[in-house]
Amino acid sequence: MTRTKPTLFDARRVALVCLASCIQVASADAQDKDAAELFIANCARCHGETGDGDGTAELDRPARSFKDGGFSYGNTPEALFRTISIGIPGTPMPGFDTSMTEAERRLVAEYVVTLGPQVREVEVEETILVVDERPLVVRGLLPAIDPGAVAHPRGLLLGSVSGLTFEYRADDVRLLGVRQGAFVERKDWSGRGGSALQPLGKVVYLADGGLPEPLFGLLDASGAATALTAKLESTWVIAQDVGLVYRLQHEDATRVVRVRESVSAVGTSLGTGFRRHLSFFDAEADAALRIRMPATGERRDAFTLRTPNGGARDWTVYAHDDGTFECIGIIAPGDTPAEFALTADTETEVDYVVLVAPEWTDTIKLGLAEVSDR
Amino acid sequence: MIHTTLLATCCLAGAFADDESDYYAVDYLTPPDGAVLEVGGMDFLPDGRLVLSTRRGQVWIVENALADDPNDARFTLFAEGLWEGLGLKVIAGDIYVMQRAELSRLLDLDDDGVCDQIDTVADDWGVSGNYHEFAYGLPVDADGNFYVTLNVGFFSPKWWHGKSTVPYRGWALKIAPDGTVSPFASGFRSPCGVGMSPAGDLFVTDNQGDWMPASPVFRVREGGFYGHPASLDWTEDYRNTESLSSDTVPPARAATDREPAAIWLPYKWSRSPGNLVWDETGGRFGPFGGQTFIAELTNGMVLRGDFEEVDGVLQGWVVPFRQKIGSTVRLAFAPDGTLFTGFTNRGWGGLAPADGIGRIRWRETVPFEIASVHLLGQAADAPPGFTVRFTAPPDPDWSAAATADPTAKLSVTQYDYDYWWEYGSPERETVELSVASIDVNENELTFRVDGLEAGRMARVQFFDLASTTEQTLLHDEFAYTLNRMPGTPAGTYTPPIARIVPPPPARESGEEGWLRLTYGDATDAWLFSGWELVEAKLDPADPTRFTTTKGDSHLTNTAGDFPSNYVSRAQFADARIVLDFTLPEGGSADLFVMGCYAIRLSDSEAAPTLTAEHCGAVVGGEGFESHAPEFHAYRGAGQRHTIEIDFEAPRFDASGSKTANARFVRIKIDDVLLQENVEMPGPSAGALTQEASAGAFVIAPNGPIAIGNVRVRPTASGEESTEEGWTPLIDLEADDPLADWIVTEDGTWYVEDEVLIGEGPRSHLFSPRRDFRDVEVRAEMKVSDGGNSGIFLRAPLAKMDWPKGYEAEVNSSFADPNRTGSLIGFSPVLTHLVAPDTWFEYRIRCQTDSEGTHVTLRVNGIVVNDWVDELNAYPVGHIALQQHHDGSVIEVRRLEVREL
Repeated sequence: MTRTKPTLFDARRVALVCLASCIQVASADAQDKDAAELFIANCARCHGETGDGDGTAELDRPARSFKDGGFSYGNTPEALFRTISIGIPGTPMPGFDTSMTEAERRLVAEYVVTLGPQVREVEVEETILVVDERPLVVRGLLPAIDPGAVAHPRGLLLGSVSGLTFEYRADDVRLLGVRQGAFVERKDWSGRGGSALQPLGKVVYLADGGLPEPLFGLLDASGAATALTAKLESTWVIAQDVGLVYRLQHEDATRVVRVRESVSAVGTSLGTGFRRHLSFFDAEADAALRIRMPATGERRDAFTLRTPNGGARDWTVYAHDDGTFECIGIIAPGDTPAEFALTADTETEVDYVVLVAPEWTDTIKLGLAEVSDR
Repeated sequence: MIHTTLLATCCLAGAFADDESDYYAVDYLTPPDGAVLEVGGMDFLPDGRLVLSTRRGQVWIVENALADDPNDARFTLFAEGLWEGLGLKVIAGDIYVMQRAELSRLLDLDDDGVCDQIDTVADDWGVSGNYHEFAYGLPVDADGNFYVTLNVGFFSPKWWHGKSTVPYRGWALKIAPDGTVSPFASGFRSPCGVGMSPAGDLFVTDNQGDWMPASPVFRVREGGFYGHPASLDWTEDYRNTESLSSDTVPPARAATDREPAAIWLPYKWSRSPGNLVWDETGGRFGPFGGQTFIAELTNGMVLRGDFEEVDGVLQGWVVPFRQKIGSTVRLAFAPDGTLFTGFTNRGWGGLAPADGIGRIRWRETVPFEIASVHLLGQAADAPPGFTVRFTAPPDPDWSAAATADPTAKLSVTQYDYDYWWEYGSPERETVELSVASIDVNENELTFRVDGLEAGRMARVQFFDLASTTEQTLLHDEFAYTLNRMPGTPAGTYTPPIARIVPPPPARESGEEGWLRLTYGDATDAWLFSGWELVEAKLDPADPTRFTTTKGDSHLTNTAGDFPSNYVSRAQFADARIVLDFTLPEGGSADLFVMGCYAIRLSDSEAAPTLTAEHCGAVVGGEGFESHAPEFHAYRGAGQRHTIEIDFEAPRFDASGSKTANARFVRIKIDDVLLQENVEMPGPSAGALTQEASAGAFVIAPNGPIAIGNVRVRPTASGEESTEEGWTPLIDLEADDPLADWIVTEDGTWYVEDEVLIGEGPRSHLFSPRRDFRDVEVRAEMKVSDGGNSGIFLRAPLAKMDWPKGYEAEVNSSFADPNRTGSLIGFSPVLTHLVAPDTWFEYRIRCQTDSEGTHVTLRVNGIVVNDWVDELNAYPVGHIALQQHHDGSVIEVRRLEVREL
C-alpha cells in the first residue's frame, strides 16, 4: 500500500489538516468528530471516505460498502468491534487491536453502522411477551434456571393466564421449575438472534435444584423402577388451558405410553401452588408406573386427605434445606401412593399438585384439603 | 414505486427507458402497526391466502395478498412463540414451519384462525445453543419428505472457523413424513436457501466465508460433500476413527470427492443468497419460464439463471434480474404469477427495507435480455464457446461491428477461486480471452473463444448491445460456471472450480516475528524517568501541551519536571520499527535508531519545498547533510500518526572496522513513503552512542510527546548467530519422537504433523539426558490464548509438582505478570512481548563461570533478559517443557540444543 506520488486523496488529507486544527475537545461533537477522524485515518484508505467501498488502496477484492449495509460477521456493535479488532483472516481487512485503543475501536464500530441504512432499534418493550387472556407457549434457548443448573438449548416456557410460567427442558421433557410474575423477554429478537430467552417471573418452585431427573419410572415385577425418557410430541393451548403431549419410552425408544399434560395454578388460602394434570393414553401394553419423589429434602410426612369433591389425595411432604416444605399431592388410581397401572386400551388420569409452604403445621395441613381434584 | 398502469407493447421508437422497473414492478405490503416481519418462510394456502413465518417466531396469514392495492392485504397473527422459522411449507392445507430446534406442524383445531397445537414432527439434530445455528427449509418431495439444512456454529475465540460441535450441523437432512431424520449431504456452512426444482432435485445456496470462496448454488445429491469440512465430523469415517476435521487443512475428501457448485454467484452480485424458486407460472411472470430466481439479501436483489447438464455435471449461468428491492432472503411464486419477496437483514445489514414483504410483477412487456446461455464444446477446428439466446434479435449494426471486431463488443474473462479456510476468495488466475469468431442468427449469438477451458468461471460482457426493437440490453453481463466441457473424453477428471491451495499461514502469523514493546506493561521494557501511561489530548488553552487523564492509550513524558529519553532495554540491529506518535503544537522529537541514527519528528506545516525541519527528515551528522522527507504526510498537532522504519545496521568485520554503512531502507508515516535508501555514513547530530552492530531504540523528545504501540520486528539479531553445533532435541519427524522422554503426572504430549503439542492437565516433559550444564536451547513455539508454559534448563527430575531449574517463561495472556522472556524467580519481564497463538523463536542460554551462572533469554533474536545468578542455584539437570493447565495448549515446531 505504498504510494510514492501524492494523489487526490493526499490533497484531501491536507484539507483535513486545516480542518483538524480547529478541533475543540471535550464535547459530544468532538466524540463524533473523533469517530469520523478515526474512520478517515484507519478505514478510508480501503472503504472510502464515505464508507462507499471506494478507497484508494489496491485490494484483491472490493472493500465493503457500508452505505449499502451488509457486514461479513454481523452489524451489531459487538460483532463490529470484534471484526475491527481482529480483522477478517485471509482478507485484506486487518485487525486494529494494536493500533487503536479499545475505546477508539468501539467508537468506530458505532460509527460505521451509521454510514448505511438505518438499523432498526429494537426496543426492549417490544421483546417482552405478556400473557393476558390466552396462554402462550414459547420455545427457545433457556438460561440456567438456577446458578447450580445448566442452560437448555431446547427449552419450553408455558405461560398460563394465572401468572405462572412452567419452564421445561424439551429434549427429555422435564419440568425445571415454576415462576410467578411476568412472562419472558425475547432477547433473541435483537442483533443476530440465537441468544437465550430471559424468563421474567420469579422462581417459586425449583425441581431438584434445577437439575431434575426423569419423573416416571416403569416398575418391574420386583417393584424396582427404571426411569423412562420422554419425547415431546406437541404443545397446545385450548381456551385458557395450556399443556404438552409427550411420549414416555424405553431406552430403545419404543413407546410405553403417551401423556397429555395440562398445567395450571392451584389457589389455596395458604398461597399458590401448581397442578400438572396427566392423562395417560395409548399404552403399548399393560404396565405399572411410579412417580419419582424429590431427590433432595427430607421426607417429613405422608397422609391422605379427602378433597372438596369427595375424592382422596395422597400427600407427601418434604423438608428442604432452605426451610421450605414441598407438599406433593397425587390422585392416582390404585392403593399405593404415587404408583398406578396402565392398561393398553384405557386412559388413566393422574392429578399431581405441588404447594410450597414456609412451615409445616396442622394449619397448613388443613389448608391442603382445599385443593380440588382437578 | 408503484406503477399501476401497464405499458403498451414494446415498439416505442428510440424512447424506451430501459430500466428494470419498466418491465418488473415492485411494491410492498403494509404490515400491521408495530409488527416487524423478518420473513423466514412463505407459502400459500389452498384458498390463496399467503402464510409467512418470521425470525421472531410468528406465523402470519395474509388475506388479499394479491390485491392490486397492496394496502388491501389483511394480516392475522396465526401463531407465535416459535424459535425462529426460517422455512415454511403448506401441505394439504396444513402449515409446517422449520424452527431452529424442531420441524413443526401448526394446527388450528377449532377453526378460529389461531393455532392451538404445535406438533413436533422432527427434532433429531444437535442444537448447542450457539447463536449462529440457524436451521433452514422447507421444500418437500413427491413422497412427502422434507429437506432442511443446518448452519454450522461460530465460537469464540476464532470465530472465523465454522464448527460442527453437535450432530449434523453443516448438513442437509431429509425428514420423512413420520419424522425420521436421515443425514442427506454434508459440507455446508450457512446453507440459507433450500429449494426443489420441478424435476425433484434438491438445491441449496450457501454463503461465502470459510471454505466458500463465493456464494454457491449447489444441486445436492444424497451422500455428497459440498466443501466445508466441519460437518465431516459426523460422517461414519470420522466417527469410527474418532477424527475431527481441521480448521485450516483441507480434508482429504476435498481432493477426490468434493461436489462442484452448479453456479458460483459473482461476489459483486451476491454476498448472502437466500432461497431459489423456479418459474412455473406458465408465462405470467414474463419470458423466463422454467428458469430459476435466486434471492440476495445483502445487495437487496433477485438474480436469474438456468442450468444445463454436461456428462452428468450440472452447471449454469446467472445474471442480475431485479435490483434495489430490499434485503431479500425468501422468494415464493403466488398462484397468479406474482413473485413474493420476504425481507430480513437483522444482525448483518443489507439494502433497505430490512423487513417486510414485497411483490414483483411482470408488466407484460418483454425486456431485451439474455434469455439463455448454452456452452459449446470444441468443434472441428473451432474452439469452445457459447450460444447466447436473447429475447429479441440484436441490432444488425451491432452484429456487423461485433463480427468485424469482437473485442470492441464483447469481452470474455475466465477466473478461478481458492478453496481455503479464509473468508471468501478473490478471483484468481484471471485471464482475458479472445473471441475467435462470432455468428448471429436471429435471436442467437454464437461466439467461440480461444482458450476457454473447464474448471473455471467465465464472465462474458456485451457492450453497446441494442436490439432490433431498439431496447438496450438490460443486463449486459453473465457468469457461467464451467465445470465440464462438452466432448471431454469419458473418464477425464476435471478438478472443480475453487482449487485447493496450500493453507495460507494462520491469521496470527501477521504478528509472527514481532516484539511488542509497550503492550500490556508499557514501561517494563524501557529505561526512563518522567513518563506515564495516560489518555492525552491537546490542551485547548495551550496547544503546545497535552492534558492527560486516566487511560492507557498514550505514553507521555509528562510526569515529573525533567523527563528522560525513552530508551529500550533491548538492543536491535536490522529491524522494522513501528510506533504511533502525537505531537503538540510546535513539538518535536528525534527517534534514535540504535541510539545513533535519527529521524526528526516535528509539528511541521506543509510547504512547497520540504526541508530537514519537516516531519520525517533524517538528521545529518558530521560530513553529511540531513535529508528532507519526500512528502509531507504529517497532518497536524494532536493527530495520532504511525511511523514505520525499515532499518539496516552497519556491518563490521572481525577487527571492528566498518564494512557497510547503516541505512534507512524506508521510512513511512501513515503509509506514505517519505524516505528511501538513505545511507548513514556516520551518527546523526546529537547521537547518544557510537556506531556499533546493535543498539537500543531511543525516543528523545524536545518537549511533550505522546507515543504508543511500539513494535519491533528484528530481521537479524545484533549478536553473532551461528548455525553450527545445533542438534535437534526431539526429532519431530521420527516415528516415536517422545520415546525416551519422561512425562510426569497426567499430561498429554504428542507429535502431530511434525509439531510437538502439549495439552491437558499439568505435566512436564523431561529430556532423557539429565546431565546438561552449559547449553543453549533454541525453540520455535507458540502458546494458546490464556495458556502458559515454560522451558527449563538444568532441571532435576520432578515427578510431581513444579520443577526447579532455570525456567524461561512462556506466557502471553495467562493471568500471571511473568511474561514470555521472564526468568522465573530471578528476573521478570512484564511487557507482553509476543502475542498469544503466534509462533516465536525462543533461545535460552545457560553458562556458568567465575561470576556465576549467566542466563540469557532471546525472543525473536533479541536479548530481552540477561541475568547472572551469582549463587549458581542449578548446576546441572534435564531440559524440560511445561504443560501448565488444562485448557492451555503449547506447540513446538523446533527444539534444538547446543552444548557450549
